[in-house]
Amino acid sequence: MNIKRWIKIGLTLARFAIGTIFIYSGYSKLIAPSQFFELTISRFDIVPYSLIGITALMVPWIEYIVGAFLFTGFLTRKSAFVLLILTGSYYFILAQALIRRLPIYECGCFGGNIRLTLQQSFIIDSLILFLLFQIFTSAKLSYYSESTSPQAK
Amino acid sequence: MLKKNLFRGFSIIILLILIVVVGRQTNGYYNKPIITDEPYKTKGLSDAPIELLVFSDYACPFCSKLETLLDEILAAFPKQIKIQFKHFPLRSHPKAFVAAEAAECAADQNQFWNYHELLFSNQTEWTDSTELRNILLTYASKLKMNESEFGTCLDSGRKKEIVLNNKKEGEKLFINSTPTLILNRHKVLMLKKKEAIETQIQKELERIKV
Repeated sequence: MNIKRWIKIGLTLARFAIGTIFIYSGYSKLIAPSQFFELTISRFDIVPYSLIGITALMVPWIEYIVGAFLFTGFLTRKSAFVLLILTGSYYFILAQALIRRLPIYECGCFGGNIRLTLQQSFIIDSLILFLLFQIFTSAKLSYYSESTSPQAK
Repeated sequence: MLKKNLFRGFSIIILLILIVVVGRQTNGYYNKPIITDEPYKTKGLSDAPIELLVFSDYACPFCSKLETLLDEILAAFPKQIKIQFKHFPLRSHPKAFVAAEAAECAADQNQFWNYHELLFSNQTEWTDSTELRNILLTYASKLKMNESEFGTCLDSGRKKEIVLNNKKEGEKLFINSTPTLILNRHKVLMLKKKEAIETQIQKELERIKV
C-alpha cells in the first residue's frame, strides 16, 4: 500500500472523528435549554452582551449540521472551512481566557456530559484545527462522496 | 447535479432536526426550569424585572464581601432588582454546609435573611470555632427564635436535601466556585467593581426595555 493510500485513509478517519465531535458537541447543547450555553459564553467575557443570545442559538446548530455534513462527506471542503472558522474563533476565545486567567474551570464544550478544562480543550482544539486544515487543503487525497468540489473530480 | 445535492443536503438537515426534536422530548429537562424559585430566599420586589441569582458559600470571604456589595446595588435599584440566594457550600468548607442548613432552619421561623446576615457578618467567629453548633444556636437566640425548635431542626439533618439540591442546580450550570452571580439567568457577571455590575444591570434594563 503506498503512502497516498495511507494519507487517504487517515484523512477519511479524521473526517469521521471530527464530524462526530461536532455532531455530539452541537447535539448536547441543542437538547439542553439554551440558557446553559448562554452562561457558558458569558463566562468567557468577550462576546458582546447583546450577541450572547443569538450566538447561543446559532453556534450549536452550525456545529451539529456542518459536523454532519463533514461526517457524511457532503460539501466537505466548505464544511471543513466553516468548522475551521468556528474552531479558530473558539481557539482565540480560549486563549484570551487562559491569558486573562478567567475563573472558568470547565469549557462547556459538550453541554454537561463531558467536562474538559480550558487547557485540555486548548490541546484538543489545536489537534482539531490541524486536522481540519489538512482536510480542507487535501480534499482530493481523501475518500469523499462530494461531487461539488472541483478537487474531488 | 445541483438538484441532487440540494435534495441530499435538505434530507440531512431534516433528519438532524428530527433527531433534535426527539432528543429534546426524551431528554426530559429541556422544558423544565433549570433553577427552582425559592421565594423565601429572594430579597427585593418579587415582580422586579431583573434577578441576580447568587450561588454563595457562608464560609467564603469573597461571598461575604459580595453580600455588602449586593445590598448597595439593591439600594441603588430598589424597584428593578431582586436577589435570589442559592447555597453552594464548597467541599473545602465543611462548616459552610452546616451553616447553610442552619439558615434553612431559620427560614422555618421566617428568619432566613436575618440569620443569613449574621452568618456573613460573624464569618470568622464560627468558621474558626470548634463549637459550631453552640454558636449557631446563639445566633438563633439573638434573633429571638425558638431555640429548641431550631436545634431539633439542625440536628435532624432534614435541611440537607435543600442545600444539596441548591448545589446540584449550580453544578448543572457548571458552577464550581463562589460567589457566582447570574443576571436574569442567562449571563454570568464577572465580579469586578460595583460600577461594572451596575453597568451590566443598566444594559439588561435597556435590553428588556424597562
